[in-house]
Order: sequence, then C-alpha cells, then structure tokens
Amino acid sequence: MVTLKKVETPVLLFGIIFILLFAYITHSSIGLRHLLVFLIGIGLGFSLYKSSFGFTGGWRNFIETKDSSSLRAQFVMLGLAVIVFSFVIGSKSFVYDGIIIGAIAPVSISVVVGSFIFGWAMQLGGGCGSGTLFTAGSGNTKMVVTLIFFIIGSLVGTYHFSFWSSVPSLGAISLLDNYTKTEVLIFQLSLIVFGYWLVSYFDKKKNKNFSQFNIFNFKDTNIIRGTWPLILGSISLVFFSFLMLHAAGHPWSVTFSFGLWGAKIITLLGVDVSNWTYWQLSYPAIALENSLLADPTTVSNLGIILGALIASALSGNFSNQLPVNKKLLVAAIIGGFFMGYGARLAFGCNIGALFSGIASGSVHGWVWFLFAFIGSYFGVKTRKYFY
Amino acid sequence: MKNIIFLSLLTLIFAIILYEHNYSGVAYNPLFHKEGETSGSINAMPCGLGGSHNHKH
Repeated sequence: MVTLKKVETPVLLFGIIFILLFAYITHSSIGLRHLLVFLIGIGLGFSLYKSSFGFTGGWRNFIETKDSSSLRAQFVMLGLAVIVFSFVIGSKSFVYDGIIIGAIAPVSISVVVGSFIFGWAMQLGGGCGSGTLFTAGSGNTKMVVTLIFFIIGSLVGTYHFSFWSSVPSLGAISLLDNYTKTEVLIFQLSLIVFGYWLVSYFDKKKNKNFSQFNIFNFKDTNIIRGTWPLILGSISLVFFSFLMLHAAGHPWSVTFSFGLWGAKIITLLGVDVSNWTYWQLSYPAIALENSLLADPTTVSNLGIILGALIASALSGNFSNQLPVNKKLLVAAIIGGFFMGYGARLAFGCNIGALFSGIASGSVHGWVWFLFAFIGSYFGVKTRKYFY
Repeated sequence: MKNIIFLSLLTLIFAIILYEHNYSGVAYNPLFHKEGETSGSINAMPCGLGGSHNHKH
C-alpha cells in the first residue's frame, strides 16, 4: 500500500467554490439538464485522474515495450460501452422528453488524415482530448500550454472546414441503422475481443511478468484519495457516459468546445467567424450565438477540469508536478496545435470519435482508432527529440 | 507560488466565462426542444457537426 500525501486544502476549497458557483449558475440560468451535464463532467474528471486513464501513455507503452495494460482497460471500456450504448441509443431519455442520438460521422479522407495527425500529435502534446483536460486541471503547467494550442489548432481546423468537407467520403455509416442490434453487438464485441487478445499476445510474448489481472490491482484502499486500478476507470467512465447520454441526449464529447472557445476569443478581438462555413452549420451557429455556458460540451469540460482539480488536491499531488523545459514547451505547442486541427478534421478526438463513435456503432470510430494508432507509432518516434 | 499563478489563471478564465454568460437565458439550445419540435436533439453535436443529418457531404 502507498502512503497518502496530505490533502491540499486551499486547492480543494478553490475547486469546491467554483463547482458550487457553476452548479448554481447552470441550474438557475439554464436548467437542470445543464447542471447534470456539469456534475457528470466532474465525475468524469475525477475518474480520469484517479485511474490515470489516458490513451496517449497507454498506446506509447504498448508501442515501446508491448505493455498492454492500458490498452486492455480501453478494450474493456469499449466493450462495456458498446453493450450499454446499443440499448440506449434511439431510446427515450429518463431525464427529458426526447430521443438519445449516437455519435455518427462520415467515413472520409478527412477522418483518415485527421486521426493520423491527432495520433501523432498526442504523443508530442503528452495527452489526448480527455487527457489534456484532466492533466491541465490537476495542475500540470505543460498541459495548460497544450490546451491553449489545442484551442488554436481547433479554430484553424474550423477555418479549413470547407476544404476538408469536400474531400472524398463514404458518408456516415451507422451499424445500428443497417443491422440488427444482435448483429452489431456480435460484430463489435468480436472486434474488441480480437483487439484485446492481440495486444495481450504481444505483451505476453515480450514481457515475462505479464498478467491479465494487473488492471484490477488496487494500490490503495482509499478510493477518494488514493489511486484507482485501470478497470475501475473503465467501469466508471462507461457509467458516467451512460448518464451523459440521458442528460445531454448525445454521447460524451470534448473537442467541439475547444473550437468554440477559440472562436469566442477571436470574436472578442474583432474577428467575425460567423461567415466561416463551419460556424454556419446548425449546431455550431447556435453555439456561437449563445454564451459559452449554454454549450453542454463546454459545461462538461469545465466539470472535467474541476473534477480533476479536486481529485488532485485530495491526493496531495496538485503541487507535485514535473518541471517544464523549453523542449517540452515546444512539444506541447506543436502537439496541442495539431491535436486541435486533427480533431476537427476527424470529427472528434479519442472520446468523441473513438470511444463515442465505436460505442454508437459508427464505422468512423474504428477508422479513427486504426489511423490514430498508426499516427501514434510515428508520434512515439518523433517524441524522442523532445522528451 | 506556482499554485497561486496557476489558480489565478484558472480564476481569470472562469471569470471571463461567467462575464460572457447571458444570465437572462439562452437564445436557442437544441437540448431544450422537445421531441417532435424542430428535430430537437438531432442538432446536438456529438462530433461537433450535428447528428448524421448534417453529414451529407
């Protein structure tokens, strides 16, 4: 067992004050559903931090040392999510009177290029979409730089939208729209089991101390202050994603709001983005017209930042961050920018496209997974020049 | 010192978000449209571009 550090009370109080403030404002000026989305975001941020559930490090560990722990936890998460989403999508929400939709996007050249760029860049930036948010929230200065350039890259991605939307595309392919639920479940779960077996096979072949059960290991008995095993992160993230489906009406997504934040900032500086093709699409136009807090992705992202912040303060790790040098800052800038750009091309990040896309039965999620992993392979090679 | 700067920066960002917010409500939000009323959640954007109805390109 690991000895727990002292709780960082001032940081914890800071987090609690802003949680209460945002909870009050989202509920009083918008409504109960927005409050729920915010609270779910806190749960996601807390879970991500406690289980250190990141795609970047997990993929890198496998590419470099064939350590499959994190990838296996991700496959478990995907498997659970595929089962849950198959039954929830298309059904009525228990929070509001409406039908829940999936994360369905086209299978296009832009997804191939965007996911490859994203996968490459996340190895430089040091975190994926969700990873950047929760590590930035937990006090990591370098990841704040990554986040800033993530926002800039997303904005540039929205500027180039008309070009990327004109590249060849097969259109949106929803498995749930074309096959029965049973067929989709069998097909998707078979792919996931195969992926799990494949990474386990390579791990077992390379590492003598390989264990299928290491993702279940508890290092601490205190689940509020201590670290979580990866499997608890997998289960918890699927649970909060299930709640997100019912509260928001759509799956968990992260990076849309980054483009929106960038658009709002340059609008304040006098640039009119409303005539850009992207910002004339139905939802982006609505989001641009409204305040940031009206956007559910913004609200859940704020929740993730604050959830990770209080989790970090409870663990006593908020102040315990690695020093940042110039090389790391350059990596954060390049990685952040290209993650943002790639996410716009690929209709989302590891959450909106990979996790929510696959769970929703959208073929673009699998395409995203494959090309982001190939991109990550090259990203790991490039990373050596900076880290 | 690092914590103070970090938390001050977060406070500034949160203050801007709160300042920018329209407290009299939102102009339009697809989340609040009921089923059958101008396609409601279809417009909500899991991937940033709306549901599959916006993916005809």
